[in-house]
Amino acid sequence: MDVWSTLGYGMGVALTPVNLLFCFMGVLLGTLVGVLPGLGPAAAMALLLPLTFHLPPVSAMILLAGIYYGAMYGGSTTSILLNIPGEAGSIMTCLDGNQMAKQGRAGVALGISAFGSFIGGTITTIILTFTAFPLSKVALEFGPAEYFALMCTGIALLCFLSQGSFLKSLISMCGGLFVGTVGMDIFTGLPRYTFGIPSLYDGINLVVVLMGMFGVTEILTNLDAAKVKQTIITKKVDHLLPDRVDWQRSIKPILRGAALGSFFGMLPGGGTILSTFSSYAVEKKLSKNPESFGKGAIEGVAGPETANNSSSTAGFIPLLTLGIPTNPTVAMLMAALMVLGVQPGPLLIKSHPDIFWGVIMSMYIGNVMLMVLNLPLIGLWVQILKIPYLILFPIILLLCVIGAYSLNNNIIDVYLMIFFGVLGYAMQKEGFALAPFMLAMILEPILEMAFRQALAISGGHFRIFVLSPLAVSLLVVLVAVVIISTISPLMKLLRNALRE
Amino acid sequence: MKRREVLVSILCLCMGIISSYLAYGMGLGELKRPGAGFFPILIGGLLVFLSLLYVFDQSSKKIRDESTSLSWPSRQSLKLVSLVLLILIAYTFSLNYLGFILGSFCLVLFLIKAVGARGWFYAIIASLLIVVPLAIVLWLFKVELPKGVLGF
Repeated sequence: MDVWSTLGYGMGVALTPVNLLFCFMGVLLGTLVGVLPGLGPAAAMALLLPLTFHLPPVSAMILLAGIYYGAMYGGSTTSILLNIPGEAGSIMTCLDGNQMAKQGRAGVALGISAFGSFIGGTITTIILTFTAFPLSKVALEFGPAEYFALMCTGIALLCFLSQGSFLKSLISMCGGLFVGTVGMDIFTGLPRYTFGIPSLYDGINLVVVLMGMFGVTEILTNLDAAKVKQTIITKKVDHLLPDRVDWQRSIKPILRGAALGSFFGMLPGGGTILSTFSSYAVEKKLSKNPESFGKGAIEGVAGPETANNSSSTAGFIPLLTLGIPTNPTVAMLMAALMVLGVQPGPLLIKSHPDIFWGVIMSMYIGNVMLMVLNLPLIGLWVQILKIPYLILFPIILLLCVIGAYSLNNNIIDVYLMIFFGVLGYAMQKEGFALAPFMLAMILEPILEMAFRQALAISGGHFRIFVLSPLAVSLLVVLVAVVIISTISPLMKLLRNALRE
Repeated sequence: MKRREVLVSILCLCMGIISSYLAYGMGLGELKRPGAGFFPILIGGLLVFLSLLYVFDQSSKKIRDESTSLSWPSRQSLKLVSLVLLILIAYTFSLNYLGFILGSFCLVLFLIKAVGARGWFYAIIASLLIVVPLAIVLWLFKVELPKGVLGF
């Protein structure tokens, strides 16, 4: 099948009434999730996952994907009106978006956010459409050694790009790898770290960990924030359409934001935070009036908002083609695929073309729906923002418990979820990033299998990892990341030692 | 603050040593056919190495670097977090006995009272408005939930 016929096939899947409905529900829920601070898209996906068990996998994935990129649209609303980012990717929008709102230009800020997000999301979906097939073909050339090198490099890159110290991120990664080893070893059938508990023989369910670390941890961290008084911009929000001058100032930041978002979104650890920060920094650097940034510069809203939507869409590229999630939210989508009985990876395009192309095509439709929805429904989102967090958090906790229990009808899963929630809270307080932990846990089974298969193929020789040019290139990147991360603190240590 | 971080680094080191020891007991196999404990012992070894670096890094800091200082929650925050966790654990423990609807009603009620400092009437109404529609949605989606001794 050539690209155009596959596009037609995908559009046929996405345009069925059922899938259109689920796309609409997904983007609506996603926007709602993005509007509500304290509830991220990953937690929302985890909470809704049990409801998708009775749905066809295509519809379930379209729904969950819609939540992900829909949340990026919704996050801008709270940033602009409340000066509180609804999502991590909307942090930069607070700087100029809220200032624009205070100047009576909330409508323009919201409007340019919506248009920028639409353009960015669409551009990246086009990139995804035309790179998915060639990338999947390349991925089929990957053997166990190449896969092992790719995943090690991906995790190292994530640790490098995570907030906090590289050393702590690596320790966090080790924790995640350990949790991933719990259960029966698939090669020998021996139980590992189960301590005689039958519920652990199948390993720790990924969704339980994600719900604990996204849902429960987030609530425990936010409990104080719930007492903070929120000042909502209550003036009537109008003039949603940017004028010619606004478009002239915004179009180049939007295009640059799309490029940055697409690039960083494909990198493990890149994600929305890095792309939006980079976009803001680039726009400020290139601006003729950099002093206007932080005081209501429309470029400071257009660029980052486009970048965050682009990066969320770009995260689907490695997921659908290589089966590698780039951040915990995309990992949640991968978990959903696995729970629905679909193995993500290079064979997905052949084994489940309906899911592959159906989800991609639904993104075009979803982006249009989001642009059409967001502008007229701004009044509704403003009302929803008035719901006190003290009412929201019990609902979220309840949904977490339901989600964990309904996976296997096992109360042990709920206790595990609470345990990981507390662990995540303690880790955050001690400055250990959660993303490396979660990604390492998700990738551990694939990483270990690739490692052991590579050793079996080579007869126990480690040289298999340096024989393949592809594996060597990836390992060079890995070594470079480790060197760059360790040089700076080492230099600091040396300087301090010399001063003494 | 510094003492706490040294303790955390020692804890990571102990975890690395214990997990490596347990992995050794699983059997390492041969290089051409690695056993169940081979990969875990590599992870354990890496964790021990990283933890030693971390212990050294924390111990060698004479003056706390303010730019990296981590704020531990206040006593009041910790009390609140502990209370919420206690309520959540009690709910989980009683779920199979009380059933979903009654158990969840009690959970939401106590959470709102514990955290929100609102009156009982507000808490009861809010709990009903949250739990009843949710139960209906879950029933519509055929989600299996514990029924408890009362049968619902």
